[in-house]
Amino acid sequence: MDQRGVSTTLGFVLSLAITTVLISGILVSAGGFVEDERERVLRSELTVVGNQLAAHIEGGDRLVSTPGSEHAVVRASVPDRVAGNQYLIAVNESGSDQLVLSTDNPEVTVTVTVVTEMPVAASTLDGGELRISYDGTTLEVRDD
Amino acid sequence: MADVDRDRGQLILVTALTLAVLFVALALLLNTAIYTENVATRSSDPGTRAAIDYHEAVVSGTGGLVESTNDNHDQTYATLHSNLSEGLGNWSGSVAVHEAYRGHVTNVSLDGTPTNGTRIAQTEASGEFSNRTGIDDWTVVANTPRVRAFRMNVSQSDLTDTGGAGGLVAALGLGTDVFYVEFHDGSDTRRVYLYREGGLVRLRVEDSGGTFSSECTAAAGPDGYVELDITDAKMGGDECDPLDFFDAFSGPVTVRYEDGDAVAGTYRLVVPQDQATVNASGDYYDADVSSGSPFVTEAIYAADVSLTYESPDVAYNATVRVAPGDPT
Repeated sequence: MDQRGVSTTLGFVLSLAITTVLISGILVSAGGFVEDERERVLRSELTVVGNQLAAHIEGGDRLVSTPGSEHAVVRASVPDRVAGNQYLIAVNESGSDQLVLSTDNPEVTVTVTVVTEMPVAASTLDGGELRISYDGTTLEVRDD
Repeated sequence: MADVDRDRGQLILVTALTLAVLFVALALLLNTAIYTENVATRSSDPGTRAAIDYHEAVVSGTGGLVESTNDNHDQTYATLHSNLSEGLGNWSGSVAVHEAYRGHVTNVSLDGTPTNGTRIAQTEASGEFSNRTGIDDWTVVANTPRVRAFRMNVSQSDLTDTGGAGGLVAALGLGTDVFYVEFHDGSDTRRVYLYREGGLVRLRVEDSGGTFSSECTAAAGPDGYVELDITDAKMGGDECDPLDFFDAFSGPVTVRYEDGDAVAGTYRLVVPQDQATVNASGDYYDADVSSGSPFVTEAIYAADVSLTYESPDVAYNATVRVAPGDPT
């Protein structure tokens, strides 16, 4: 008899609405949390890949700085994808002695500085098997 | 009422499924993060260090080979070249076997013809630094483009003692004979004075302007001799910075001894001129003809060697000029 003056339809609609709002809130925050983590993991992996490639380039530079060097090739292997995403590596694009690694979705960009004695030619590559070659004057990073 | 309960249940079910998918995605991200951390701890050495080590080994090994090839007297230039080439082939083969165990393919060979030169030497330990006819102030070698491996072993007791006069400069001012080696290229001069004072063998370098460098000193060994490496700037095995002057010369250099009777011991140097040019004035015995000190003999001044190195990750080629003891 507590039901007098109470509309079941209104009660139903209110319960549904509140539940929907709460559930949406959970889903949105969980989705946002996963998205943040994904971006953080992407950034971390791009940094690691960038530093490893920089180490290979600097190792190649030390090798070709020995007197009498004529020709050298150093092979580097980096992952094809990071966290399931394709990525681009821009080597010394603006003449700033930097590697810029970037993904499109989500937009993450990581910059790693490379210090070399020999000049490094500008190039853009995907991940995978790379080769760092020296022709007598400059170092160049290309897809293998 | 029952229908309403089933609807609410469906909403929660869908939510639960969506959250489950999100958690799975999170687990995959965690997997990627763990893999990334693992990759980050791996060595980032690209394998170039082994190639650099091989390059260093070729330079020092080939240098030793050139010196040991030269150390045989009475060889013609053709014999010296073929000895060096054969020795290099043997060395390359031995090293290739060792490198093969590590998965590397290596090779060294002579590139072109070695640069012919002459080895000038005095091997008589008690001999003064005079020429074949006994002259004490004489030209060791005139207008040589370079000098390498100029080493001396001098007796302490035979050097001039400047202690009584109060030092080198004072002794020179009094007109005392002190042995020196002079290098000049027409515009710059360096004189390396050798003397003794206070129980030590001492060295000072005078430049074109008459300024004397700081002193290098060394105690004689048990045999009473001190070793000097002029082109490597060392005295008694220690660094002697005043001897590091060869970059002051831009043209061919003439080397002279003055007061060669104020010193005794052995010396040797290698120049890239042929024997006939070096001995044009007859200052030396020809080692091919007679024994006696000082003498000249054919020697290889420098050689170019080509080296190749290959490993799974690195391929490397270089041509290196080997001239052991060349200061430039």
